Amino acid sequence: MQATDLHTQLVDFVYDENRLLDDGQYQAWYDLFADDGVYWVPIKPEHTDPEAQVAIALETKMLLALRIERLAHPRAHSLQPRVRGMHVVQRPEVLVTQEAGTGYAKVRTQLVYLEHQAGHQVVVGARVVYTLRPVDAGFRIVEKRVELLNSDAFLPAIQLFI
Amino acid sequence: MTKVDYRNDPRAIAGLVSDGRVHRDVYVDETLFELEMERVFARGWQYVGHESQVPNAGDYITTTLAGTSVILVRDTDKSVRVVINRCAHKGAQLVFEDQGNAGRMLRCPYHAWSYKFDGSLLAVSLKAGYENTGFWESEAAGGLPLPGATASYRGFVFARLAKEGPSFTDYFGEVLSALDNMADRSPTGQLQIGKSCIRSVIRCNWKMYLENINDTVHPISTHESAAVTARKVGEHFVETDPTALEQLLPFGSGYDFYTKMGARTLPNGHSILGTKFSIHSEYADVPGYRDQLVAAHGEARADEVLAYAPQNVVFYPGLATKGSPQVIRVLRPLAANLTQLEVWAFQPVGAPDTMLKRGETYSRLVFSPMSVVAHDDVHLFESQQKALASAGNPWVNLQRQYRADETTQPDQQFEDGNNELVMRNQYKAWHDMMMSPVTGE
Repeated sequence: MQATDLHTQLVDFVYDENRLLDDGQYQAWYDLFADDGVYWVPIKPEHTDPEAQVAIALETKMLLALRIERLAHPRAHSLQPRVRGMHVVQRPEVLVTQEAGTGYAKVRTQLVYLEHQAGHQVVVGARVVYTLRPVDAGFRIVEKRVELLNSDAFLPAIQLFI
Repeated sequence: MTKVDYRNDPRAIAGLVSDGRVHRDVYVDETLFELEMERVFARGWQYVGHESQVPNAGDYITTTLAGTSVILVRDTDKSVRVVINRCAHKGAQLVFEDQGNAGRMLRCPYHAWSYKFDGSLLAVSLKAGYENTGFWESEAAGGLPLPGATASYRGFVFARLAKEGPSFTDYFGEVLSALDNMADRSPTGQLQIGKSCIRSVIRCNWKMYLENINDTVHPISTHESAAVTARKVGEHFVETDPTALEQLLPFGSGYDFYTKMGARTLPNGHSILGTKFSIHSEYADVPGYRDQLVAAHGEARADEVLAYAPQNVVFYPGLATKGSPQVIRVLRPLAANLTQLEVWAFQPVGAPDTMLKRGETYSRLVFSPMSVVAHDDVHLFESQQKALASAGNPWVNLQRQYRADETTQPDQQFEDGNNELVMRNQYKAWHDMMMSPVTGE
């Protein structure tokens, strides 16, 4: 694989991942995660160990499956009326294509996330850092880390995935 | 628009809460909210912070009590002080961070006036300019404003903003035993608060949240989607995350579960829900933990401490605790229709680290702004707020198992957690405090 191709693939991966969320294709999004993958929204951007402090969200595949399964539950009251999300994504920046030791790639983007329900819109800014494991068909997410600009603020309910 | 003069007409307030019903103005009226800040929050005792947040001299945290910014600071003599974050000169804030170290004094960044940690004035700039001005008899010379009273109990620091009001022990009374239970979950009797808290803001009145803390009848319907999917997903991921599953699955408990849990209502709105057991009673034993407590407290006290796991203990009006999983919730009302919430977990000092992790996992799964459990609660509270501010039946109903003679017994113990007396008791306190104007108001 050419280095430039790898770079482009990583950038495209991030765009595609965000589009799956905005399109509501949660099963396809879930399948992007490695079996040991985590979705993490730390309470402070400088945190490096997901286990060391409380988090706004820290979801293994089990908890991601729970959240996605619930989205389709007929009595998930909080999702009525329908909640819609949109990620406005800045051009992803490849930090490393192949980390020494792990072979993982790291990609970072900054985004504005909007979530709307019943005339009320929540807007948050975030820097998102992806740790990706190369696999035959592309990449699997080992960690998606969402550093909210206002992670220490009193936040309203955020119901879908940032 | 307020049609009734609640500030000057106590009879109008008297009619808002009676016989198991609460008028919608109690949740939506801004004048009543102002009066609540003065007569309930400022005159009751509010949780400020925990001593373990300020271990060294000069360490401070800031928080807001009934709209007033305060500083909790460790003095050089190791005592903890609470002072109001307002320079005596012109009102600028002295510190701006959530936490930090102030060094040897509090110094205003505006004109460099400085204060001892007890709030007394240490130095003013251009002191000679105040000679023969009457300055030393002024309010400013008195230093930083202080709360009416401050108290620390097992490391939990509380303040009463108002100059006059009940003493700390008179106000809380027997409910303080819940803090003993939390602290005695440590072999050294001490707690260390987690490094960060989870914060959320909810577009509802603070009392809707506080009522719900004592509501055992909502989980089976409100949290059905979370509990059902947790059970379903748990079948596929049996070994993955046992802590998450043991915390989420009890949200599917039915009405019967709560009928024998035991409850206790206390004077001033406090309550203990689940005096015998709760959804927190069946958490897995942590290896070696009981032995540590037995060695420290003796077998009888260790087992008493571990067996006591109420669903929620309410320290009216703004604090609720869970002895297990060692989590507290702090309500900071901003307006009649806006409430801030902080959730903190604790590590019992000397116990296995798993204990803090358990509390932080619970905080995240159940109380975070991204929690699927909290989502359903918050959505319903916000819908209540909208409905109560609009036309229709003006009354909220809290009559389940109401008895006409119940309010004559301020300290009551009963079996059935589904009895809405645990909520009516909050409104008994609300009524009594709201009917009594603050001196000089």
